[in-house]
Amino acid sequence: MKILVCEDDFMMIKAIEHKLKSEGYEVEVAVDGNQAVDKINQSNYDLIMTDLLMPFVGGLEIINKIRNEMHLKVPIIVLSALGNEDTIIEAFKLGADDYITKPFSPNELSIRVKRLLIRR
Amino acid sequence: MYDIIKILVYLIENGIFIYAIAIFSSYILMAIMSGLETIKYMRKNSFVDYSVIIPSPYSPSITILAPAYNEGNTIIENIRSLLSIHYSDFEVVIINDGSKDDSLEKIITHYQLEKVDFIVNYVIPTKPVRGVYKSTNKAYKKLTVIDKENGGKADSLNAGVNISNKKYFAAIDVDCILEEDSILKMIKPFLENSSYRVIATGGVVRVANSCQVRDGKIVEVNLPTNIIARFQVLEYTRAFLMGRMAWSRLNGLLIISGAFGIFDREIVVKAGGYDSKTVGEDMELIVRMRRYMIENELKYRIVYIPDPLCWTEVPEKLKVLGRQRNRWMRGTMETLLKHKTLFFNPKYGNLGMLGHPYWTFFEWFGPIIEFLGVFYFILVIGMGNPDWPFYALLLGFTYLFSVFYSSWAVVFEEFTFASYRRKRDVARLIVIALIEPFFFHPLTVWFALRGNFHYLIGNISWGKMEKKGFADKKKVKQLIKS
Amino acid sequence: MLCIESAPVYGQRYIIVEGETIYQISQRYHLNIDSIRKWNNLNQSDTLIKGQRLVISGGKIKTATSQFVIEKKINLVPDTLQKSANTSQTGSLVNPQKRNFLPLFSDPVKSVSRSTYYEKVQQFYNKSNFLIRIIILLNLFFLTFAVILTFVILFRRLWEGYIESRKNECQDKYREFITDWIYSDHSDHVPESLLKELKDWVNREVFASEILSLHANLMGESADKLIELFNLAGLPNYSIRKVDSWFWHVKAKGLRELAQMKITEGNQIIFKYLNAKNSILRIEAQLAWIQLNPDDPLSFYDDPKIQLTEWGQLNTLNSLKKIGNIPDFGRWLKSSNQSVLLFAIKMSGIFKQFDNLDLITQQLNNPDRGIRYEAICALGKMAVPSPGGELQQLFPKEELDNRTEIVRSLSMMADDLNIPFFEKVILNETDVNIRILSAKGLILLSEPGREKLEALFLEADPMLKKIIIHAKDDRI
Repeated sequence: MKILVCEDDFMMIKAIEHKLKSEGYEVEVAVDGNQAVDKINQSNYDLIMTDLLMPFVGGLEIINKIRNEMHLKVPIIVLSALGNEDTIIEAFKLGADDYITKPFSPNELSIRVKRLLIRR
Repeated sequence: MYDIIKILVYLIENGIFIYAIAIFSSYILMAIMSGLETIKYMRKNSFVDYSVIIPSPYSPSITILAPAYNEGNTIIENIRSLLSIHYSDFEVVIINDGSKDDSLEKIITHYQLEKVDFIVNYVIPTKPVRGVYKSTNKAYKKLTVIDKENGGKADSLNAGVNISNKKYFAAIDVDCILEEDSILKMIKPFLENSSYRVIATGGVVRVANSCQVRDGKIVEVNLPTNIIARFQVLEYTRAFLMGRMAWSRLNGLLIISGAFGIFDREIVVKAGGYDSKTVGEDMELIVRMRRYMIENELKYRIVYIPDPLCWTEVPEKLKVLGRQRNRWMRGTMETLLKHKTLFFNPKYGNLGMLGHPYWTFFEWFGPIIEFLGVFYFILVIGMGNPDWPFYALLLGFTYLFSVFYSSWAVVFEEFTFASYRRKRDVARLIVIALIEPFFFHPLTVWFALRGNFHYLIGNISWGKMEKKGFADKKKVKQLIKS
Repeated sequence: MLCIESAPVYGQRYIIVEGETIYQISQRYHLNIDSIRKWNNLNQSDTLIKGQRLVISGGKIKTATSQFVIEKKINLVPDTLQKSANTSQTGSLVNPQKRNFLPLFSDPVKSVSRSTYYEKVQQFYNKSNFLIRIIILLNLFFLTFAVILTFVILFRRLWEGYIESRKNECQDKYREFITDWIYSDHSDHVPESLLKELKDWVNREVFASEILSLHANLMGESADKLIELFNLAGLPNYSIRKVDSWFWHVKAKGLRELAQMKITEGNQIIFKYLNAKNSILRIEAQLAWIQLNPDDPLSFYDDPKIQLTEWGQLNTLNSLKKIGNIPDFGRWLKSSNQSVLLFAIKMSGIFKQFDNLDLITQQLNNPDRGIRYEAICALGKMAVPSPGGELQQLFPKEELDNRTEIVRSLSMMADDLNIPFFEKVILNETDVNIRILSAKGLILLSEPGREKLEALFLEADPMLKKIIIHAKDDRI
């Protein structure tokens, strides 16, 4: 199972990567919006986890691209510090499957990932 | 006769001398105050977590206004970069100021816009709005585009203010590149003061020439290769880091750069909005806003942030630079004259006693007096043996002071944001500091003088033109406004 | 007679000693007698008097010895050009004040060397009046300082480069270590080698900042582990030390660290700063207090003198969310302190503390406009219909922004009883914005509201028609 993590904080990347890898997933990382778009275009992922505030291309735009331009059905989890009602609703409206606000618990994250992947 | 000349000479020489002392000491004072203020900001910055602002219900709503005229080439990218700013409650309003190119079509296509039945509330009178557009695509929910008849930048901003119903608005040059957390940093002062109301904030404008830009974001900062742009780097650093910060501290700031500023919408509207009849609308609005607050006895502040938040392209050709500086001078004159009641008027506090006089004597008269000084010097040479050693000393003094001051500017830059990482860029800046007094400075003086001249003939022409008719008047106006 | 080792330097004077003749002097200095006579206006018959001064110009210059040495050796007195110089050779339009400024070159120059330039400059300096001296000194000052500044920049670069490379060395290593730590089960002590490394401040700063930044994003078990690591690595002591620093920004950083890492030993120190004069320190101390006292986080709000800024409130709200314990703000809804009252009203609204509904409704009568505004907003956020009537009553007495807010708040209450009110507003108000909001309010009231809106539309004048069309478009 391949997961793409789009996140620009390096320490966060390490923490998330470590957790997911220890659960047996294959993890790829994109550190900014452009890289994320490139990777999505190039490979197939089983799950995409993305932050919203990233350089170049924002998370919401990426979700929009995945759902409305590329018409992919891959599960999307948003992991962001933005916890206000409008943004959450926006993300779900655009097609996200789950929304986790920071600060988050890695254990909780892992369970949510599992849940979405089982559905597949 | 000889006596009269002697007295005249005495007055001129001593006058210039006193003026020079005054201007140099004020520069030094301002540099010190700027330094203190900048250090304070840097320290505050070192542990502030700006990201807490984003999700907070306390974060105020903002409209980002960006007037656009014939920006077809870059407008799509510019809008994209504005839409991806790190903030939660904001909208982006692009005002198409009757562009003659295909800007509007491009935007409509790319962002999937359609016209909406928007009722425009002309709180501030502007040129008619032809249409308001919103996107059919939810991802671009925050974007609004106004199409209106051409009226100039001030008029466009007013149209944007009319449309906005949010608490604050940011006025941006559409080709200005903003850092991601620009809004966060610029909005914080509005939240920090409890005993007085912050009505506007401004930030440092940096030179983007030769910087690498990718997708609307600066990825690498380089010193411009063009020498005219390089001179301006030094100039901007000096003006912002060693001048404006001091004024911010004194609450006497007369101008917030039109390239990037955030304003309290209510006060702007109450003060009357931007004046579309002036060429220096950014400065004029600030002065008017201040007057409004003082005349209504409301405690307020206008704050400056030394953080480099906004990057803009500066003129690389002398002709364009000349026009820009000409316009700046005319704008300054217009504002200072329009608000001449402020001059040494204690009712207006620091604005009247310090701000207005300073700008009048040093920013406006400076180039004039400098020119007179040079003229006088040439006269003296022509008339016989001048006191060479003395004049040599004086020139040396001016030059060394300039170099000294500029090197402080470079040091300030180094110790604060150090945008120029390469050592040779810093070395180049120092070289620029050494040659500026010979090349760039006389140019700016010359352009400023032309500005004075054009302002004067503009006013005289009105008188003459009254009799001739309107067709010629338009022509003169075009010439001057270019 | 004195021993002369080298010829006098240009422009010197020579004091005649007992019994000297011009001839002797000329021999000594390799000078032409006639020249000496000419320079000193002496006739052939003049004799020299002891103590008389002669101008000695020209002559061979052997070595560039310092003036002082020469003076000592041959009893020369540094020249001060006197009255002759008053007839300024410049003859141009010179400022009368500057008459005292004397031209240098009143004597013909034969040959000059570096030493003569230096001497000239020195002479020049000594002759000049006060003003010129200042200028000269300032020039030197500027020059030296500019050079010094250049070196300062250089050194700073080198220093920064050094620190940067040190940081890069250890950053990845520490990130690995920290990540391993939070996910491993058997983490109860920190290796000695690491502890030793952390004695160095660069390493320590990197390590601490990585822990802190990660902790800001995590919650639950992992977050607790991070705190454990912070303690085991001995870092709390350094945080406490920071609070003792001279500089306020270091103090504030220390307070922040204490807060985030929940170092309870810091409580006493934090208490000291709760009312600090420096507003930033005050805010940091308050935030720290909240973190460390989750049972009664806002106890300091009881203090009547406290001043809250929006920035402080923003951070306070943030901190409260983090500790998860939201106090009942009713406690401060009766406070006499304006800013505390404002905060309590706002928070009640955000956290929907319905128990405080009545207290907030009471605040609609508060003489302060700002407080009324916040009360209106809070009632809107709570979206409970009961205060609707009072809001409607308040409406005509208020100014524009409060009126706008009343309409907004009523819209959120989803109460059909508000329909007549909205209708009145749409028809009678002049401000376009309020009319649009009222129309939107009607739309939010589903069937009855929309019907009313359609009815209004049919009878509307062109302006109202536009308003209603605008309101119906949910993109704007």
